[in-house]
Amino acid sequence: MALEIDGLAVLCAIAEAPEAFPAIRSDVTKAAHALVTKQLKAKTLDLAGLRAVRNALGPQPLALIVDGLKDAEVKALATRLDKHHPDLKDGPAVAHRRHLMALAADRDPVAPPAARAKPARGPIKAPGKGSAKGPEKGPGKGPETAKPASKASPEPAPAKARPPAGKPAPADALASAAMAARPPRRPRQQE
Amino acid sequence: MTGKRAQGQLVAVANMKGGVGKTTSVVMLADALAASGASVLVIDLDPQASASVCFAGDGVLAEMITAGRTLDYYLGLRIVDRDKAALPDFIRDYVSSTTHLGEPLPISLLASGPSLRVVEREIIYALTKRQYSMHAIEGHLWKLFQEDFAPLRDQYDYVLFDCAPGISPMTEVAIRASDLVVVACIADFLSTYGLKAFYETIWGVGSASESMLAPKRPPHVLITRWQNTKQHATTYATLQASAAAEGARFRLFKTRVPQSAALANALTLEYQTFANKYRDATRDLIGEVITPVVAELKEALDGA
Repeated sequence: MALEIDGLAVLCAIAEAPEAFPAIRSDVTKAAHALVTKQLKAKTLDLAGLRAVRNALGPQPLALIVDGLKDAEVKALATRLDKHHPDLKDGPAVAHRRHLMALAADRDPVAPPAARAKPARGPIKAPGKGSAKGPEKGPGKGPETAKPASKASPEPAPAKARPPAGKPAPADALASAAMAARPPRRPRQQE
Repeated sequence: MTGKRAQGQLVAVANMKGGVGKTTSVVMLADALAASGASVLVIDLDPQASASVCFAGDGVLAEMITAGRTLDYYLGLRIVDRDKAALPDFIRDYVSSTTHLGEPLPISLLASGPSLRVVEREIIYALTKRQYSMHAIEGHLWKLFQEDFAPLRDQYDYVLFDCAPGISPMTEVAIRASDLVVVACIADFLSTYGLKAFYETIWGVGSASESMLAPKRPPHVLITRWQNTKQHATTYATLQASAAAEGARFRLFKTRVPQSAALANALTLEYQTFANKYRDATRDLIGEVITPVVAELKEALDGA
């Protein structure tokens, strides 16, 4: 006798007969979000694991769930899976999301500096600062650097963030550049 | 991504009463429509410039005002000064910093500034000086709207008007000329009372004229800032009954927009993705509210 349900089998059964579960339709979406989010946040998730999630879900559902992660979570995951990428530490959140999705698809992470500095022929000379210049940029045979996944639309402007919670509010609550701005005089404007 | 419509739809979000969630509704609808792949233009008809600052941010809006790239400047040129000006030149594309699936939302903005109030007064003075009657002024604005604003349908899937509380002449034209008027309304006594006045002004007997036609459809009331209180429940039940009655004068969205901290936060520029803007640990506004509201909006526009 079974002591517990087979969760996967029950989830499959719900998915195959949603008409039998009308009262939980919105909960299913929430649960799906929560389950995949938990998997993405798992410390054990590696690149192969991320790609397996993408293969299982498809690119768009994964992108929607990645969009729902906090910026810091996406950055942490992207930098963990692509430790040596030169641009991830300072890039905008949208670049982290795009890079994570690119990694999930097929982009290779940037190789460690030592490996990339290894010359094609001849022995390595004495190590020095020159061998740790950081990853190469630009086109070439080396691993790709972060590029936008699509150039169909302009780069989004960085979030014009308000002071986050915890920071002091502006000294003048009425301060506003827009409300203080004045339109130029129209060419034929009357006094 | 949806395919580009042959002709976009004009939607006015309005109410004579202030503080009922018009701008919140516009921001929510614009974000949702754009996230579903539609191109959206938001036209801010309110001198408070609330929608403008929500999309552009204070700094960019200040630049637009200083450069004379706002609705008020355009109206001053076209009507008061009778200068040539092309409306698309005053529109800023990709103004939103919100992204969806790694791309910025395709939202454009025709911003307003505080000078809109002054320019609307200038328009009345200038046209009165030219011996225009009140009807002629209305007719002039109507003609301008049809010539300059209506063609924007060809460039955008949706044009959303964030109407000012009260009804300025330009706001009234936008309301009458739109394909659908969404009336944001709180389910309480004062807001519903204001709804009656608004209805009588725009849709009531004798409210239309040769110069200003009646709106194409009855108003569609969207309950905003919904709270599970007795007063809201009672008022909502009355609205439901009125909307369901034979010869009903308005339609009622089935979905109600809740009073929500997540929705209030969505008006700030803190969130970068559409998902993060409207979904948090406590609430999934996308699934519970936004998706059904957008579905109802499209259904109403399709004439169902």
